[in-house]
Amino acid sequence: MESNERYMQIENVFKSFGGAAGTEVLRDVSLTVRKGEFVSIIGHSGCGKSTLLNIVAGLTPATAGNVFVDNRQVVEPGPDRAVVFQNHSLLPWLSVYQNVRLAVDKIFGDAMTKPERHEWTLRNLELVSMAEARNKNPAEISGGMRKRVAIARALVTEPEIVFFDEPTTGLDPILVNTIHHLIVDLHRKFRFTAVMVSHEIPEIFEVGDRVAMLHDGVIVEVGAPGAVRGSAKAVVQHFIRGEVEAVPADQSPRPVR
Amino acid sequence: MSSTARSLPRAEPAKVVALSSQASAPGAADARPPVPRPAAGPSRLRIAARRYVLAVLPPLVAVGAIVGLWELLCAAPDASLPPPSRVVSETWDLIVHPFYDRGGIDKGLFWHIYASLKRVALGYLLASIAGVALGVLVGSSKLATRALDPIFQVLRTIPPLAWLPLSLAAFRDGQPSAIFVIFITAIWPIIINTAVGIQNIPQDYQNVAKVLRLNRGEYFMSIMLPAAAPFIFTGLRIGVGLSWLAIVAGEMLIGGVGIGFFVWDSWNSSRISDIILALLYVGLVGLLLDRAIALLGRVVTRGTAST
Repeated sequence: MESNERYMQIENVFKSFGGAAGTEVLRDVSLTVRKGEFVSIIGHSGCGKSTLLNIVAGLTPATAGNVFVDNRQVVEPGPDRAVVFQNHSLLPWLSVYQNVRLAVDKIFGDAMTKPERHEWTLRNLELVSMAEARNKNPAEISGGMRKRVAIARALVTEPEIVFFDEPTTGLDPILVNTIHHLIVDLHRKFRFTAVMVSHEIPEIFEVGDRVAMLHDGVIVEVGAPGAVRGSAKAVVQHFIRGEVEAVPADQSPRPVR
Repeated sequence: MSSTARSLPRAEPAKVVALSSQASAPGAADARPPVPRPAAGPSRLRIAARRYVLAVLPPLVAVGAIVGLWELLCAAPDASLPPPSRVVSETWDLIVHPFYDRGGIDKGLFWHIYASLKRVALGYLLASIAGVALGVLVGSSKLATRALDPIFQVLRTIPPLAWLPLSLAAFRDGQPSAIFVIFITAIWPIIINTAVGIQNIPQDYQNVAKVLRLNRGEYFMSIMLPAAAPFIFTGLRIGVGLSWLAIVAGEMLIGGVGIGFFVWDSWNSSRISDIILALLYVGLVGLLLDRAIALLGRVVTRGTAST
């Protein structure tokens, strides 16, 4: 029970880029996530939320502090902690099917027979309604479809925890909604622990169990979506109303190949 | 950081694109959103015909103008070069009998080109294998870059023919020397483009590999080679062009059957028209080689290589 309550722990994480005298991106960030919980991390571009996600996924080392998932310290990424990358990161030389199959072959190469792996790949593509387009190249499908495939590729390894890095970047508002609903549905169905980073203001309050707001590298507010929405803190209200001037983007979207 | 970063720029590789390929690219017009189809049938036909004429007419006119100018300039009886009409009449036997073989070096042009292509194929194949291997090494190891890049930068500027005396001394035979010259000419752009391709693998793809914990072999086959393939094929394409440049020059010196020696032999026998025909064939074969590698690249990389 204890371990389920503190399934993922972020403990006093600091991160600076460019050595000791460099820019401090995260300052003493701590957060505990329950097993199966859906936590959204919000904040303006440049507030450090993508860096935080990369640290908890094990892709970037923290300057100080620790991250634990299921009582094990995070030192490197792994398939039990899947990541849906911001730029979908589908491999352009592989078809939709092959992109998902690559993960299946790697993770279940020993546990499943070849027909089973084929079935499993198809089943996961069906989960995101992409089985029909399985033989298309990533370049031939829309941005929303690419996000779906990226989600399928992350879930196909049956991860315990899934990190979504701005899964709706670059989509039009209707698609943002669709993808958010897809993520919520999949979370309900499979009860994985989910941590999502986003800057979509209205939608974010509908998808998570809890919302944490990051501002200038510090968590300024954390709680149920309603509580955060009603927060008395000025930065939170400014963010919700979109009043604070946007800081230059920390990760400008790469051109799609 | 400094010297290697400059000599192996983290940028797009040099693109080798024929000027005309943009004008005649078939995809460009098809990519437009579908326009409501006009009721009258013939207008569609007319559009297609117009597009065809626009693609074919300009080069035809240009070739006609050049040939016409050449004919005029060389029309005088004491002109040092033959006009195109005389080139055709004097080389007519060579044009219509490319496959004759009277033994020795007295063969049709097909056999000369075939012999040159065989040398190029062997030298270029060796250069491709060694070039990609060295490129991968230099692209994935900073230490290897530091150690080898200065050497590459010096060696790659040596003109192909300058290697010939040295290789003749080493191999004591014209045949392996010519193949070595092809090899040493083609290898540099392959190494350098492969290395740049490896260094430019997007962080996203590396992250995918990290999350899946791909091992070195899996990473090499599933991510590294395919991600660098568009760059590798740019290098291979430049390499095949340089090989063809080098073989013609090399064969002039080593003799035997081959299009290069055919040119040299024609010069020694004052058959200027034969030289002109041979040069035209050399150009056409060079173009075909370039297109063949480009096509291979497009097929292998599923359209992500430049064309």
